[in-house]
Amino acid sequence: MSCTTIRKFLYAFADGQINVEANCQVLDHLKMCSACSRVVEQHQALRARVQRSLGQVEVPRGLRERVRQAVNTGKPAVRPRGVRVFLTVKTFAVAACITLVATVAWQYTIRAGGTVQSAEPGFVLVSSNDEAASMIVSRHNMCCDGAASHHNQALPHTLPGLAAVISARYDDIINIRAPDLTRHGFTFESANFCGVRGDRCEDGRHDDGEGHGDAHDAHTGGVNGGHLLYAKKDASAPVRLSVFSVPRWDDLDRLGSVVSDRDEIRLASFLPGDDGPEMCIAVWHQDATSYVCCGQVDVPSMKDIVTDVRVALGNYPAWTVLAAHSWQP
Amino acid sequence: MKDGKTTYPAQAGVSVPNKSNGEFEEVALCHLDIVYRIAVRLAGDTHEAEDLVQETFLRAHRAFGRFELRKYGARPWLLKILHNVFYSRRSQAGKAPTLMEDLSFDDFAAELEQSPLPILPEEQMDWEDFDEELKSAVESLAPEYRSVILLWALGDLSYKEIAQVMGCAMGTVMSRLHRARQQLTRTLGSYADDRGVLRKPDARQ
Repeated sequence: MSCTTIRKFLYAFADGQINVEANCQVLDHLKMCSACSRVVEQHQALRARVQRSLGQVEVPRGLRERVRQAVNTGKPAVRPRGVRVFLTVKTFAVAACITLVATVAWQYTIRAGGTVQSAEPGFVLVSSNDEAASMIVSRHNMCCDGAASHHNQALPHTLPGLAAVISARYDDIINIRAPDLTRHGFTFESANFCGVRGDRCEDGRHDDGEGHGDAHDAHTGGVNGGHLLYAKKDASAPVRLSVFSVPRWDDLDRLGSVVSDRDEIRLASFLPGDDGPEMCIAVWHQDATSYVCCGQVDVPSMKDIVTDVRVALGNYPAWTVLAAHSWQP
Repeated sequence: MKDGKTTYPAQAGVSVPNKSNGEFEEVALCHLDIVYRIAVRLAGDTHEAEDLVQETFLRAHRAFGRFELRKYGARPWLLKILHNVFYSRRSQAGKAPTLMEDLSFDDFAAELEQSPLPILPEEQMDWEDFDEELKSAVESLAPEYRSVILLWALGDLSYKEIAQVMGCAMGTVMSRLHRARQQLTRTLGSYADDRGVLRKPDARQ
């Protein structure tokens, strides 16, 4: 069959919508024709991309219950106040590439059922055998290993247009306004835009400070974002704590089940490797950004730290504002 | 497709339930997430989306057990209600979609043959950088195109099911899908040009 003949079936083929006989004919053609194969690949890639980009919508906690209520009473249930809408901050999408801040703290609620093992207001302890949690810990460890180069005012990776703006304000914005965790024994050490990823540093790109072009992470499933690194100075061995920001909450959803609902803070505690120290991870959403806190601390300490971090982040929208006004592609 | 009696294997097992809330829960409420996600993309607003979802399930519950469920299967049925709710609201707001006339598959094929698909050098594109652009490109599609794209990619519906939801012929679904894809490709291509994404990484600043 010629391309012209086969073409009318290509999209239906790509969507699995044609019968077996036609399917075989198209397959036979595709074996020989790279141009038509490309069309099929593009079509499927578009579908996957739309699915991924537009499908990452967090379903509001409580919606199911409200729908049940509506069904039972025969009229719509009232939506609770206080839930902000992410879709309205489209103009922040660009700014969010570096957003390490939030302006509004989400109300805390307790999740019931599911993976919950124990809960205090706002905090939910989840199972720790989570791929995403392991990936975040490995990211944290990699940045700790290269901590000296992590402190790089050029702020490398993925944000070439913004790096200059932010680095110029490194000392008076980032350094000063990073959440103060000295009460918990941690002092601010460095910031970078290395994000939450699985395989940075291995090829040295993390250390080069140049912001080389292909630093996005389509292939790793990781996400872009800022990373604040803290160090415990008085410890005999280096102990560090990470605060990652992830530009959009749906980015974080890609990482796996450790991700948080908008109105809770999920915690996981586990031992990476065979005999490594206990690590604790906390994940939460705050305004248009998701945050991950990770470090060699126990669960009660992490709760205290996260509480302070959330307050601090809620107090300075300056980075978002700066980014929104300054970044020109 | 114009045969209204068509049933589908995947839905053949859906029995016509009585009005028990337990069954409604089992048959309908399990599709809440996908209905909500599509509602968000249709409405472009989470608050309106929630209203749409509540209204959809309210109507679904009232009609639960009627013929439509057996005819469509639960997910296409719910999405059809969602579309009806959405478009009737839009219509009240004076923004009724302009529906095209139905096209047969042959018309679609003829249209295809006349319109070469622009092929982007995708391997050079940083598609990961285009999440927001893709979202806004989909949002800016005409309602009937956007619906088809959403039902196709998010709803995971077959062409037949999309046709039922949209109340049009299957050829029209294919045509709309094709045109929507062309528009998205063009839009994203121009974003890529604007942002110089097509350049080699070392040509960036």
